[in-house]
Amino acid sequence: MDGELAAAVIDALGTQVVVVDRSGDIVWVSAAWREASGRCAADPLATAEIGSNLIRLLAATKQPSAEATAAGIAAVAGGGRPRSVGKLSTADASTQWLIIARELPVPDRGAVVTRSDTDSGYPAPPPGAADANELRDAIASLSPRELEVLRLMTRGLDNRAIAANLGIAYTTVRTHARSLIEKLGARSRLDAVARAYRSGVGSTR
Amino acid sequence: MSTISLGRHAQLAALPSHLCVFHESYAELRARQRDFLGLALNDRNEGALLFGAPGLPEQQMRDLEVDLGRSLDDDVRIGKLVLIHSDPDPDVCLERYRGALEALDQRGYAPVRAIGRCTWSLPGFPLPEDQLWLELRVGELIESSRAILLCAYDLATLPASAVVYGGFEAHSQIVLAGQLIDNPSFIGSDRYFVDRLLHLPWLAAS
Repeated sequence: MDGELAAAVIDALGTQVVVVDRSGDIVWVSAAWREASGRCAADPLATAEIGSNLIRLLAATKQPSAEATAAGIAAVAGGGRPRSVGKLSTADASTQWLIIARELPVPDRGAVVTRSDTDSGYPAPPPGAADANELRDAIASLSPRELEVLRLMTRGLDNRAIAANLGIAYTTVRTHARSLIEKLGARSRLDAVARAYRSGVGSTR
Repeated sequence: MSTISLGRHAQLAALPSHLCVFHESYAELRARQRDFLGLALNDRNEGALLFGAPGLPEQQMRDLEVDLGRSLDDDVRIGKLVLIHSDPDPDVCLERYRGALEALDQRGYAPVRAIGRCTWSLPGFPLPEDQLWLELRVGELIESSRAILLCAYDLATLPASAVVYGGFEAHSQIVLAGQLIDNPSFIGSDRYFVDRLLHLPWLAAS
């Protein structure tokens, strides 16, 4: 496969890729990377075009995770490590990316760096989301004990810790937890906790 | 503070530790588990634990038998090697971890080397948000044990949200290409629950 065809395949897959040389200078950018850079105004790598240095751009963000990512890319591009994985975010952490650098299979040629948005791979949201009134009614339908269990769940406690806190059996807590998850129409433990938290039930302190 | 080797000729990690190991194929994980768990299985004092969706720990054990050149049936029988399955309920998973660690401790096996495989939206495993909750709680469980747990994250199959929210944000150290490195993206347990788990984007509208 020639280089032009390989580039076309990468673009067709929509993968965000740059290729850097041994010093971290960008020598190739995929269309998906360019497109993604234009989508987020606060993208720290928006200026990562051919000729710029990816390692310096990451280090300039002054984020510890980006600086670690830069060091990892430098190690891979310099031939000291086969792979590195890092994280980058906007200054307000509202958008995050996973950055993976892999050594090119040709000696002394640098690294290929891919970037993935965390929001491109979210699990499907829970179906049948309740509106605020339905949720209030569901919470009102909980027994006093279920409500106590739910309040402790919103503090992140597991069933054994909740049992110790309330002085009741672990299996009793497990039954209450499963029952309240169902009554809230939640699909999971944390879905129930998130719904309850947004409704003002419980405290994280 | 005591330390434990992550494998032959490998770095030392603190005991206890809850670490993330990134890999890109099962073959890579298999080599890691042979190196890491092989030390426990060839040492009369240490214990070993495998956690994963039903069927996966059994497959890993069979591969360990091939790689170590011996049957591990006796190790399972005497409770030196423990296989535990995931469950859709994350609290059940946590109880299984707790029970296995307590049983290994009561039989006198210490330290314990454990590998847990992270999966995302797989039947028999907690849903993604509950998987993250489990990471948080297991991390605290390990802190009070004499165990080192490697949580295996497959970069080839897991989405970026799983790797970032689970692998990066829930582990203070990461094993990458055989190197143990401090993780600047780690979020301590209190903040992880409040700042991350209560605000997962895919649950925001539920």
